[in-house]
Amino acid sequence: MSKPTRRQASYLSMHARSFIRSLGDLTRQPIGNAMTILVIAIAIVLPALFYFVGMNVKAVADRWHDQPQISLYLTNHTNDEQARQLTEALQKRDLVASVIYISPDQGWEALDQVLHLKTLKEQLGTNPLPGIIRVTPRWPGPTPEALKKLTDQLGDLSHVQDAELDVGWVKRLYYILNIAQRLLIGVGCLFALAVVLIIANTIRLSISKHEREMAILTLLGASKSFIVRPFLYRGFVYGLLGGVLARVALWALSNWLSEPVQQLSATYLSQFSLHELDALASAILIVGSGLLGWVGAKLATSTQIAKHL
Amino acid sequence: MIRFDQVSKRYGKQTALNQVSFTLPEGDMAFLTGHSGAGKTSILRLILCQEKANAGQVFLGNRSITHIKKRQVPLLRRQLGFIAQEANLLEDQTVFQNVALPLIIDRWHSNDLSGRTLAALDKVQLRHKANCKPHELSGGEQQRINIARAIVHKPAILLADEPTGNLDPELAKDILALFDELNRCGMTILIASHALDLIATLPHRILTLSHGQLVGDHA
Ligand SMILES: Nc1ncnc2c1ncn2[C@@H]1O[C@H](COP(=O)(O)OP(=O)(O)O)[C@@H](O)[C@H]1O
Ligand SMILES: [Mg+2]
Repeated sequence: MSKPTRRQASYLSMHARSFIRSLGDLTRQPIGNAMTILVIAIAIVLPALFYFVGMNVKAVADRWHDQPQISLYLTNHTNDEQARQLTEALQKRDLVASVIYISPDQGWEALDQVLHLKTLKEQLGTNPLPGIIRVTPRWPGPTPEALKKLTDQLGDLSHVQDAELDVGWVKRLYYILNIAQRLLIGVGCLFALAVVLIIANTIRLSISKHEREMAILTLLGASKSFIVRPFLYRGFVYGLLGGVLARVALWALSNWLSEPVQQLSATYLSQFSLHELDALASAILIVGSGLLGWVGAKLATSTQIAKHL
Repeated sequence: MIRFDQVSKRYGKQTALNQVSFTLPEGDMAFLTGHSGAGKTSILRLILCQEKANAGQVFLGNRSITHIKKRQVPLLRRQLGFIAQEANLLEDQTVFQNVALPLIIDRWHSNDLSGRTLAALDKVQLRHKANCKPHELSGGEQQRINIARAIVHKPAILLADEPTGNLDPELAKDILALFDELNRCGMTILIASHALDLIATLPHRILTLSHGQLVGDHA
């Protein structure tokens, strides 16, 4: 068999051609393919929406910046000098962000401003309040467990009568975010699986429609990869277009929500606008769903095409 | 060169070929004939590695293809030309694309590809139908397109299964004349056909099968 010397087209141009062809193929059955892509887009939009909401909740939480605090109630005999030394020592600790000493007198003043207790002090003859050191741990960073341990350690220091961790909501937020994250991963996996299966099934049908064509190509010496390639590209294109559509839907949704969100936020915070998915997240969404399509097609071809070759 | 050495083929309990031996030297042309079910198609399928022999050896050139690895089969087929019994053009592609398929499969550059494809269409005198779809062609034209596709990559060996099967005698003669011409250009050709009356008029070797056995070999 005579051959021109440089007859072979490069792999790259071959793949590019396959990709473009599979885009063109979609226009042959526009309605069926549009439906498939729409279903894929919906399956992708749901977990993406989850992520989007989670991201914004986290942004709101970060804004409120409500720090956990540890209050150290000092013993009655502690004088101001001892308290200042303790404050300085605490300042140097690892997990500690800031420390404030509130002397018994300052405490009384603050209380008095709110409750007008002048007569009470006169009756008591002495200030009953202990000195308090307010420790603000670094946050976010340590787990609630680490904070608890820190509190216990501080409680054991001399001059400290009692240590209290104001942690209720910290713990809650931490666990809520944990749950949300796991939920997101779980739901994301399920929907990813759904995308793979939808595409696998669509490709499976498409393979059975092309059985005659595959038999012909096989007899002409087409390799397995030659026959499989268009189906893989088709799956990839389904996923890719589904991802693009999902991204557009997300964008439309966040635009639609942004006005009421701003109205709401105006009543709480200075201004809060919805965080959009950034370029990287969008790219991951789109390319990732393309890859899911490829996996689905791979699944379909590996089970369906083997019998032809 | 095609060589069968004591080849037997069974489908389950059905014996299709029984210890068949023959050699078709390079550049020769021969007809395989015999009643329906005699084993003609089975011989072609063994050469194409669509089936494996139960006993004996099949050689292409000096190479035994009896135990060829599965992934080597595509490469082997690319060196053969095959015209199947049933119509097997891709309906959604043009005549040109159909004829170009073996070159596309072999990853030819598009510039070389179109020249060779048009040359093959010239050979069967259907260049003017290059942009038609197969269903726009008559049966005889479709069969010529099949031939063009089988020879576009200039294979050393051409196999055909009942290539004149559904054609009227005039067309059948034209097709056989085309094979004759290809053979004169050096192609080794093996044609399965039960149309004895037609074959008998041509000066080529005839291998006769009966119930899976080679019963005649006339030059
Ligand atoms: N795939 C198959 N499964 C079972 N039997 C087959 C198969 N293909 C062919 N045969 C049998 O093998 C014998 C030879 O068939 P074939 O080679 O097709 O003959 P021909 O082409 O001469 O008509 C026949 O008896 C046929 O029924
Ligand atoms: Mg037959």
